[in-house]
This record gives sequence, structure tokens and C-alpha cells, in this order.
Amino acid sequence: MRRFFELPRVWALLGTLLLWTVLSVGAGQVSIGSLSGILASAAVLCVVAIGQMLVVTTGNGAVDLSIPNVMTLSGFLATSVIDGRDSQLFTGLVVILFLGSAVGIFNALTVNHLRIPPMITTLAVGYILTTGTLLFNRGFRTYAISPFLVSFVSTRIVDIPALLVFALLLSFVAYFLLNRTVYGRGLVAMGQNANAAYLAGVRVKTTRLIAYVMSEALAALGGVLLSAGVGGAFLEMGNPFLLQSVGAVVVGGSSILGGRATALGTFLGSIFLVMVVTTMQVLRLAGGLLQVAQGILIILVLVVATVKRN
Amino acid sequence: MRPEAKSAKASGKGQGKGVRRSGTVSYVTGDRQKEGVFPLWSTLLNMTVARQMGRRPWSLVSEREERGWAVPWTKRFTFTEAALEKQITDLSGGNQQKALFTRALLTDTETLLLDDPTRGVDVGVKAEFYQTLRFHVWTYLASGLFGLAAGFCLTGVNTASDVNAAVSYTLLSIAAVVMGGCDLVGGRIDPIGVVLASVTLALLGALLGFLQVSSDFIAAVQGLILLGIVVLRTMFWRRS
Repeated sequence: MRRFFELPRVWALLGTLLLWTVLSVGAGQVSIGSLSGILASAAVLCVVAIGQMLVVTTGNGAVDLSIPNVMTLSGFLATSVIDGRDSQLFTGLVVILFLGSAVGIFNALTVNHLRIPPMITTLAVGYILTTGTLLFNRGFRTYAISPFLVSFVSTRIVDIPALLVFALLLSFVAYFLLNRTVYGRGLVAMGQNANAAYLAGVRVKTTRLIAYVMSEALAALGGVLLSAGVGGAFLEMGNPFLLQSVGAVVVGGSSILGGRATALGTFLGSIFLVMVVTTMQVLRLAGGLLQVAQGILIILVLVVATVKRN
Repeated sequence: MRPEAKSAKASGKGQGKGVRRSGTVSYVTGDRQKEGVFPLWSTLLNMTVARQMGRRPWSLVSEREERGWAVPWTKRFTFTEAALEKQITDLSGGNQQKALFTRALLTDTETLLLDDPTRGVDVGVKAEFYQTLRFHVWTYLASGLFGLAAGFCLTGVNTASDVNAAVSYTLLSIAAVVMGGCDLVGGRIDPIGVVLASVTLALLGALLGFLQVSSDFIAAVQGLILLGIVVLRTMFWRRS
């Protein structure tokens, strides 16, 4: 039993259940159906947070700050390429995955070879992408969504959004990658001790490159899902995901310092965080207070995690 | 621990005269904190990480398989198997160092680089460490003593000493070992088999002498028999 509570993801799960009860009681009805909207946005967050988790796991204070900008730009790109036609869906996905990979490669090469800290690199690249988005915003039709995408993000399987199932599957894939493959071992090793990892034969630079590429590709995918969910692309739509993606990773039980990652924890952390936000909206907290509350929550979790380790 | 093992191999080719610089390198550090342990991992994962990194990135890892790699070494280093499951930071410095040593040994490396591997380690563990290295010294010493004893016997049998009297025994001794059921690459011994094989070889020599085979050919015949046995046994063992 003690071991059970030591599992970091348990706390996110308990928090989720608690808030769910609070919300359900507050709304006057207890059902999954009343929460499926929350779960769908949690799923988008989860897709993005899995990527964030991979970057955070590379260690040394790495955080991917270009995620929100990649999401926004990919939302714009996808909607304009797909332009409401299912026939263009595949092309659109290829384009945004290409965009994500290119950004990831650029980030990783900069970190690897120019030795610029990951935070600075991803922040700078994020700014560059913002400009790209602004240019896009000028002359493109960005509100037509392909019918398939719309049905994908709104389908419910017995009250559970298909999107959430997709996010769960993705989490399992990430779990497998981290825990059962040589690549995952190397990634976690370099997050704990980069020197030791290098000396133990981990190809540190390649490992980092792949993690960054996966992160931006997932961010790009998240951008498409987000724009499909809200019915179009708009400026700064990815911004809330900066804080939330980090929050989901940390609340889920992965170490912010890298070297310890739990994909299923990130999944639960995403749901928990979205529920916190919803609870506060239900409580009619002002928008600014929402940010403060999220920040405080993340700091609290970090403090608890740090104290426990010492 | 194989820093850029492959590139080391590539860069070693064709350089220098007469000195071969190639192959895989493993490294055991004296600075555990900075260059050694992965603090969030169990001892087992700390031991096997270098070996895993020698595999393809998409290969699957399994802790059961890894335990199979590590357990033989835990016996060598008087390590309890329970320690494998513990987080490595819960181990004493000496035991951590044993784990790092094991990490290097698990890679089947050709070269082992030791950088003050017993720094901050108490005397008992230090001894255990170098014992593994010293093990080889004892083996050669024992071999030398047996050779000395055999020399005395040989002189007794021949009732005279001759500079070249023992030369043929180089090949013969190996032949006896192989025929007796030991593995040439090590790890399998059978003393009784060796004694029987020695008798067989001596009788064979006598037989060849009796058949008046020229003494020049005796070595060749013995060599062929030896080769035949090795080939047959390799085929047999691989099948079983």
C-alpha cells in the first residue's frame, strides 16, 4: 500500500477523482457525459504534454518553450492547407509534421552544436514562429475544418471522447518507448547524468534530437486538434499550453530536472490540470487569477516533490 | 561504458606503425557522482546501461534478461541479488563502485580503462576488486607450477635433461585440455577428462611410434586430431 502511494501518478489520479466529484456535485449531476468537454481538452493537452515530457526528460533544465508557437502556426498551416476538404487532410498532416520536425531539428542542432541552453533556444525559435504565424494570418482562410477532423474531435465512445482514447493510446506508446526500448533507457539516463550517460555509450546528441523532434511533431499535431476543436485557427491559441504542458508533466510525477518520466502520469496530470482550470471557471475566478492559481499549483507540486526527495 | 566505441574503432585503423589502436573501450571512473551513477535508477539498471547502449535504439529491453546478465557478476563481487533491486544511491560507496565495475565488464569490451576506480572505497572492497584482476595472475602462477612439476617428472623419466625435451608439450597440453572436454575460450573445465585425454594422447604417441610413423609427422597427426575434435565439438555443442 505504501508503495502504491509512492507512485507519483497516484496523486494526480486522486486529485482528478476529487475534482470530478466536486464538479459533478456542483453541476448537480454525476456522469461522465457532463465532463466529456473537459476530457476532450485534456486530451489535446495530453498530446502536447507527452512531447514536453520527452524534452524535459533530457535533463539539465530543458523545457520546450516553442510548443505554443508551433501549435498556433500548425493550426494556421493545417487549416489553410486542408481548407475544409477531407481529400487534403493527409497533405495537411504531412505538412504540419514536416513543420514540427523541422523546428525540432533546428532546436536540437542549436542546443547540440552551439551549446545554447534549451530554454533560450526554444524561446527564440518560438518568437521566430510567431512572426511566421502573423504573416499567415494576413491572407488565408483559416476557419474551414475538414469534416473528418471535426467528427474525430467530437466523437464520443460511450460518453468518453475518442480524442481521450487517442491520447491514452499515445501515452501507452510513450510509456513503451521510455520503459521498454534502448532509446528510452538512453533518454532517461542522459536526464539523470549526462556525463555518465555519454561515458556509458549513450549517443547524447542524437537522443536529444529525436526527443525534440517528437516534441514539436506532437505540438504540431496538438495544434491541428485544437483548431479542429475550436473551429478554426486564431492568434495565440497555443499560449495557454506553455504553462499547462509543463504543469501536466510535473503534476503527473515526472521530474522537472529530467531523468524520470512517467507517461501515464502525464496523461492523468493533463486531466487533473484541465479539471483545476474548469473548477476555477465554475467558481468564476477572474482570468488572471486562473493563471496565478495554476502557477501556485505547479510550484506546490514541485516543492512537495523536492522535499520528498531530500 | 563505451565512449564513441565505433568511432574509436574507425579512427584507429591505418594509423601508427605496428601499434594497433582499435576496438571497443570501457571506462570505469573514480568520480562516481559526476561520471558514474544514475541516481534515480536501481543497481541493476545502472549495471546494464552500457551494454544496452551497444544495441540498436529500437531494441527492446527486459529487466529479466538484464538480471540474467548481472547475476553471475554479483557472485563474483559478493553482492546480494537483493541489492540489484535497490536504488543505487542506497548502496555504500564500495558497492556502487562494484556496480560501475560490473557495468564495464558486462559490455564484453576489448579494453578496460580504469581511472582510479577504487577512490573513496574501503580496503576490503578494494581488495575484492583487484582480486578479480589478480585472479588471472594466480591462474598463470598455478600453470607455471604445474609446468615445473612436469619438468621434474620428465627429467626423471628421461633420466637426463635436454633443452628441447619439453617443446612438443606446448601443443600436447592444449590437445589434452581440448580432448578432455574443456572449452578453448574458457568457462568450462573438466580435470578428469584432461587426465584421460593425456593418457590417450600418450598412448596415441606410442602407437604412432610403434607404427614407425616418422617423428616429423607425429606432431602433424596430433594437430589434425586436435582440429578434428574441436570442429566436431563446436558442431555438436552448437546443435545442443
